[in-house]
Amino acid sequence: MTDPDKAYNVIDEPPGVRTPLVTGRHSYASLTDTVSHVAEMKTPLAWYIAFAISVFWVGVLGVGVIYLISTGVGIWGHKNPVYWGWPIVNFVFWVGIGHAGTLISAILFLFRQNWRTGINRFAEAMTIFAVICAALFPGIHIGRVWLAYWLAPYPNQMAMWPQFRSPLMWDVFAVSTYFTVSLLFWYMGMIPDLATLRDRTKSRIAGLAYGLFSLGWNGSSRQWHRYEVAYGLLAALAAPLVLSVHTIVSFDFAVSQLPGWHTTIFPPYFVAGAIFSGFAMVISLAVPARAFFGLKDIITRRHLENMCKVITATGTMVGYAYMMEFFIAWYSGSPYEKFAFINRALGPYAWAYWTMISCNVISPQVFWFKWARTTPWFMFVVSIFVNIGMWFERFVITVTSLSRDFLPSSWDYFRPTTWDVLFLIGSFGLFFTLFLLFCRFLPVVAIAEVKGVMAPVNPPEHAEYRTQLVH
Amino acid sequence: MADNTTSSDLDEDLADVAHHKDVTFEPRLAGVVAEFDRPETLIASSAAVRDAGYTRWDTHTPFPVHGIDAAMGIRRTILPWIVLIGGLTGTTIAIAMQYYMNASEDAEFGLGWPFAGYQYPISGKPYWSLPANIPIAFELTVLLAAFSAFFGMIGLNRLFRWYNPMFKLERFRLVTNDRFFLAIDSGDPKFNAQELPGMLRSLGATAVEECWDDEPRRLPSSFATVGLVLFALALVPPALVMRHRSVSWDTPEYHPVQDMDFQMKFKSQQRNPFFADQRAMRPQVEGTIARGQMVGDSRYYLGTEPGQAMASLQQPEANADNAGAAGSQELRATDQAAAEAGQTGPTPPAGPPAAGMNENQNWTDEIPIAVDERLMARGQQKYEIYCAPCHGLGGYGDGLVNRRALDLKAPTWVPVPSLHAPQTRKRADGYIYGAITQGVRKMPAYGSQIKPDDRWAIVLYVRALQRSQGAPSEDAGNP
Repeated sequence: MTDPDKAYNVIDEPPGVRTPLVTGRHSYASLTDTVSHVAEMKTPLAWYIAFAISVFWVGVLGVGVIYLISTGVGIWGHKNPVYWGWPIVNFVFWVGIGHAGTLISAILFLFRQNWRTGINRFAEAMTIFAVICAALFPGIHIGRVWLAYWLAPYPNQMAMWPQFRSPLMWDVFAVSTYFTVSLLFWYMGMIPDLATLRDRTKSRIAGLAYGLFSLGWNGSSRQWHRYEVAYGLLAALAAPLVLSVHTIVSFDFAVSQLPGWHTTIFPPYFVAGAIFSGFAMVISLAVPARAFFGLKDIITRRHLENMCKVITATGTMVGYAYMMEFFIAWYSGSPYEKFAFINRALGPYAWAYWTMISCNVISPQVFWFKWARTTPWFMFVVSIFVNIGMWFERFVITVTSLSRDFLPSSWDYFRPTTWDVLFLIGSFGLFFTLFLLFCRFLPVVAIAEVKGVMAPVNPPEHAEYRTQLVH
Repeated sequence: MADNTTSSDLDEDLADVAHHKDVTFEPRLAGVVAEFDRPETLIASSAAVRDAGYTRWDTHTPFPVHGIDAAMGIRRTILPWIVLIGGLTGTTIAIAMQYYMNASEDAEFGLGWPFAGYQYPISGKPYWSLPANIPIAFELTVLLAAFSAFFGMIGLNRLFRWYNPMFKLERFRLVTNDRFFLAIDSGDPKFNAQELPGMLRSLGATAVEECWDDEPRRLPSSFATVGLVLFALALVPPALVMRHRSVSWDTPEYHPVQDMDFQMKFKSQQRNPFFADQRAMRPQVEGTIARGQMVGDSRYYLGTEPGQAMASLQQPEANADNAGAAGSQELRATDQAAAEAGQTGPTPPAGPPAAGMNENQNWTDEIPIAVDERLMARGQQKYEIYCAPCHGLGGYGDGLVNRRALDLKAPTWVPVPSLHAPQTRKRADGYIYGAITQGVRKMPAYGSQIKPDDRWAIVLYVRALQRSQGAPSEDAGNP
């Protein structure tokens, strides 16, 4: 079989002609086969190897969490004056990653961007797993983990209620709402595709599990009608929600009075950065997955090209925000602001700042060239740079401002401990464990949605498969 | 089978259960299912079936087929209204919850019993400030609206019914793949098992099958017993928790993390036997000057006549323990009037320059730098940047910040006095300089932001303003 990327070369297409959403002469049945194959095939050896590595790191993370709870947050590099170290950096990093999934599934849906159907399931799964990784960090960062339930407003004999005017409290509500709504959205989108797997499987256990979670879906048009209305409503709710989540995460910083944090540009700047990092992560995952699972006809190079364009746009917005921060620091006339930003670019963390600038602002500019944004291996490399850059952005914001606070006598240079590093790698282990399970057992592409936007090859060429199933 | 989701449908289901209560279940004809191979044929057939007057029927497709709603005559769902109600409920709950828990004990807008809840003072902020409550109201609105959309869809579609007799047809498995089905329920008044297959074939169906239901439609009676037992067991853990929380204990509190509850450190007011004076908080080392406190010319830097400046530099410890030595150290620290400092003797303890200005200090009454037109222009520029937002361009205390704070009746706000008030006009130049440097009442210290030259420029400009708004009569004759 020829490589779909070569069979339909995006670079050769005449201007004004759009690549079809699904390439390679697919019928409805062959599309179903292609996607279901990912969940139905014999588990490849490579999957076992990747899964074993990921689970190992989940184990390390688990040991770390137990050690942390029994000993205290001192096992991290937290030291006066930096008490928001890597865990908060990791939290913001992972929450940001999640945003691309909701953007693809909700905002692009509202804008009728049909190309989203090829990647939305994938990206939504990424959202869920990224938010799980994110929620872990503030959860264990509170120190006395066994009192985490104090965050909830519940009647108690201490007459103690949450302080609703604190951004940290807003964060609890925002992140948990975001996780819940994303999960509902993801699951609801999956019901018809779970029914597809239910109707195809020959295994009794798989049939029971898919049957249970597909809730007796039978594709009734009356059900589809309500389903589509509900999907549209959820999209309309998720769109402002996703903007609110990173806005509120930015409030954790912006509402405080620390120079370098106390700026009004943070909400839009954080949201743009979140989408930027999330799209980079989608590319990092989609490029290997589409090759490995044979999904190049469905996640075409047009999809990748579109995502690269989003990366360049949001990366440039982030670059603009970096410049504007410096301008405002100068324009404010506040000596502390000025110092905070000069220190960021030229101080002891200059290496981190310039890593961030080169990864986030300079590297995505290569996508102005058509070759760069249509060559999967190359965009994979750039997406890794963007992921690194966005992690450093959060590091630069969190640590440079804190390490040079108002009291020069307490200034210090932040050094992470081994556990800081292990927790970060462990969170990647958790993310990839969940993602590998998803790739193995669930429909990785929204089959029903792709069918709705594809132009099938008529008449259906599936007689062979049908006979096999009926008899 | 065909899911019309009318209330009568549910009633019939219940009637069926009741009817078969005591008889063994016989297979019954549930309906007729026709298969189509393309959506266009299905839409045309649906319109025909609708026009023929059938009411209990449905179509089944692998993806939402556009145009089928109109062809089948499906009415628009009420789901959006359910979501609207869910969203509004979320907003209401969030606002009421935050108000009750943070702002309702006997607040200005308190509604009294039984709505009186709690009051949460946070750094002197108002108890109820709506903008700060918006994020949580927004999140709960979205959350409850999303729940309504999801569970509303599940409920209206009756998706928790896993069983459907059509699932017994091998052919029907393709409904989630590439085949399109039209199913007419046997409960339809016009249902006729003999004529329907022919009619559906004539509409373009590639296959027509009868669908038989041969499952009993009633749960075994043991389900209820098991359910009841599980429910009772589920109540045990919360009951135990409630009991533990409501009885008193005479054993000491358990400290799960010892080194967090008992930390090896000294707090500032604690006793530390390591030092001779046993104070944990150490005084400033003798002969040192804190960062930023190295001032030579007190007139220029502090706005006070020499001598008084020492007061804010001297440490009370130094005075008490070793007055002579401290005096000699101070002598080195400042270049003039050290002798006077020694004579003033013990001075009141002076902390860092705070908003509480000492009015009785010996403020200088002259501007210690060269006064010229350039300085005046500089003063005006700096005044308009730093001072005018509160004091107003004319110095009447009518700046935007003050007007806004007064409009809001901010409880902690101290109104900005006019710079033309008699007591302000009488103040020494040094006092105004000191107020800019150290702050006064609500006014923060600007010493770290405005350079001394510019502070004096502002003093000069304030003096000019005062003169312009209340010029003595001799100015008129003295052009």
